[in-house]
Amino acid sequence: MKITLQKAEIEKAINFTQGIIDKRTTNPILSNILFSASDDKLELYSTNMDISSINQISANVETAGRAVVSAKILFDIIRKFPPGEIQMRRMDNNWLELKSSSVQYKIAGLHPEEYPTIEKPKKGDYVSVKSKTLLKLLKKTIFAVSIEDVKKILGGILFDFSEENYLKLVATDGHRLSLVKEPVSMKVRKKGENSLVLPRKGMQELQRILEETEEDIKVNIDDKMAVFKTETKTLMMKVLEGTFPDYNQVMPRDNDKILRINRQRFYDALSRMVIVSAERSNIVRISFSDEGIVVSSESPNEGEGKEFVEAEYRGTKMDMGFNARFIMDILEVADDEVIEMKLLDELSAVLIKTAQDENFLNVVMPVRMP
Amino acid sequence: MKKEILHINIPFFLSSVESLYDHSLKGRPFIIASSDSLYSPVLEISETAYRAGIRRDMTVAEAKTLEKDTLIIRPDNRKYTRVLSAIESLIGRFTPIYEILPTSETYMDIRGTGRAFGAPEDLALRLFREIYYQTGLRSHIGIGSSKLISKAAASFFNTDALLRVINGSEQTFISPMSVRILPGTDKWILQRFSDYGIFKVGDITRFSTEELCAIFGKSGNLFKLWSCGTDIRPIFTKNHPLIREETVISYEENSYETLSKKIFFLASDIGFRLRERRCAAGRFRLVITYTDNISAEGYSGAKPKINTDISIYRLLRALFYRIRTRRINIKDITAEASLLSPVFAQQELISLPQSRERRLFSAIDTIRKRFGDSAIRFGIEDRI
Repeated sequence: MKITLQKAEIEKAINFTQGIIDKRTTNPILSNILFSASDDKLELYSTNMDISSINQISANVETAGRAVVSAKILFDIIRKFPPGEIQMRRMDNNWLELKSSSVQYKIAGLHPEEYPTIEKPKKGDYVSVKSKTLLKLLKKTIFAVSIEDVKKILGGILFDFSEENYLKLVATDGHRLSLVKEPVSMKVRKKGENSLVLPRKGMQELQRILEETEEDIKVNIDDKMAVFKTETKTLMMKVLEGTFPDYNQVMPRDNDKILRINRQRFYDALSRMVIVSAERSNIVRISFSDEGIVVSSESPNEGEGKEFVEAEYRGTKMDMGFNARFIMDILEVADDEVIEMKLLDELSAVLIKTAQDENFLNVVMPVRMP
Repeated sequence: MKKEILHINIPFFLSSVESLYDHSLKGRPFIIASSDSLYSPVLEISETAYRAGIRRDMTVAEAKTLEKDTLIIRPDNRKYTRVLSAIESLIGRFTPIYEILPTSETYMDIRGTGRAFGAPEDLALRLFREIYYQTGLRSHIGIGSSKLISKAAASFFNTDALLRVINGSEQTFISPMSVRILPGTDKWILQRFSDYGIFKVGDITRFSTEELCAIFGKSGNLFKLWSCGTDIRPIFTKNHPLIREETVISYEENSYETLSKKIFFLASDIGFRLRERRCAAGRFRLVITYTDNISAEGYSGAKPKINTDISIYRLLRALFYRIRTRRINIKDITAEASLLSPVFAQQELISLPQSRERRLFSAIDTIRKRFGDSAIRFGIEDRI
């Protein structure tokens, strides 16, 4: 393999490709990137066996071929290269030679045959989905995905296609839940399947792709695998196995106390109070009254603070504890300027939504204060 | 406002409680030991046994040699806890700042109680009477400006008496007393004192702080302060951010399995107290005392803070094997939990696996609260 390409282009491609690589993988080959050069294009493959990506960039291919090198070392080297053209050549001992006008590197590589096979997705029934729509759905749910290994199925986002012409995304970590739906016509390519769960890491990578592109994204989902494709990037991920909790059951229905509050004012108050929360636990107390709310927090070693925020509240006076981060995550992605909280009592689930949008619902469990 | 500490000491507490429950023990020499084995250490003695020359920390064999009719009683913590609870509820009526030890030694901060209960002497007499009426136990009471002085005052007379050391006369009062009155004076310390010709507290003042530190290490500073009648130790109230549990080990219990079990019980008791206070601890201290009275201690941090029996046990066990460096039997293990902070119980939307553990501990704690600490225990295995 012998190719010449632009530094900026390869740097961007490796940066995207290495996102999938696990930092602590048990299989060392997976910390490498596979390069495949042919027909004036270079393809970069990476995988962690659950999620795989293929990234295509243009290159001047003198000799077609393949090479495998460490993603981290290569990225560190490429970043430091001076702008301009870089020549890459696979040597006889599988090492990779990188050359510019003044810089030369030879880095250790592996035989391409050792790299796991990443099968390119078959040309099937792809559905075109607007990137902005999918990005909006992801942004409104990804923060609620569990990052702990408590229940594997909670480490993903549920794609629910049960409602005709609507795509519903649901994420929960067991303490909070976010649900968002948008009119998207998409189906699982298997009869009887109305929903599936896709892993958080795959969704983060998809979010990165969607943030960079304006074009529609092609989606093909079956019961085992989901494929997302743009002109140059392909992301494939395995569907998580297991049963996602029935989110309809946990949606509060009897909450009769209603708070309407300005989103930015509420966010600012919470962000100010978490600074002195006990042990940086983000726990704040919110006191609800007719005049508004008082957000307060205290830390035995650091101090205490409280802030009054004007709001419209219908209900009895009440004090509740919350993980402020849970509420702030919602406020960060909510579109409307007025937020509505529906409460029942000190220990019951709270429904948080925007005043206008019924398609973005959040449930947050409170904290029992000592 | 000057500090005013009132110290209550019930002499021979455990044996006095045993006599309350079994009147036939009155006037008889008996000892409290965890087993009948001749190698078991004596935990507590009756007054008659004391007169016969038997002392705490002797073995059962030594006690039997001195007085062959000595009865051996197994300790019954439920009885002692019941009496201690009665004393605690009584003294809690007079001041919120008090520290009550498992040996019944009690320290009360009575600053500012004059208007409500009169002069300290009047309060002391009232306490003496009420403790006797409620528990049937006689107490020695001392009043002083610190824990050390009040304790020294309470132990000044061997009869039911009250002594108050007036502020400013602490050094004069404590100087002629034996160095045994000072806290933490084990056999090794006493030997060192003896080596340097220190027998009375006043003798310590002949040495500079630097010299004392060279002999006793960090404790030298404290000895210097104590010899001047100054004691800066605070009163550890129930709300004090420290939880301490102690267990006594007999000769036979020095096997690997039993020591592990004892450490687990300590962890279990600390976990229970932490959860009762809805907090978790970030620092643990373990002190082991060998049978030759030499101690070793170690600290370990927990991040994030912990409050479950198993996590505390793992930490304490690791600490135990780190600090146990001598192949000598252990007679006492003390564990302390500090850096406490409240635990906020995040409510769950969906039942999560870790909440099962929380629910299990909640159920165990309910049983313990109702039927006592030892009503339910984990079956422990080495793999925990």
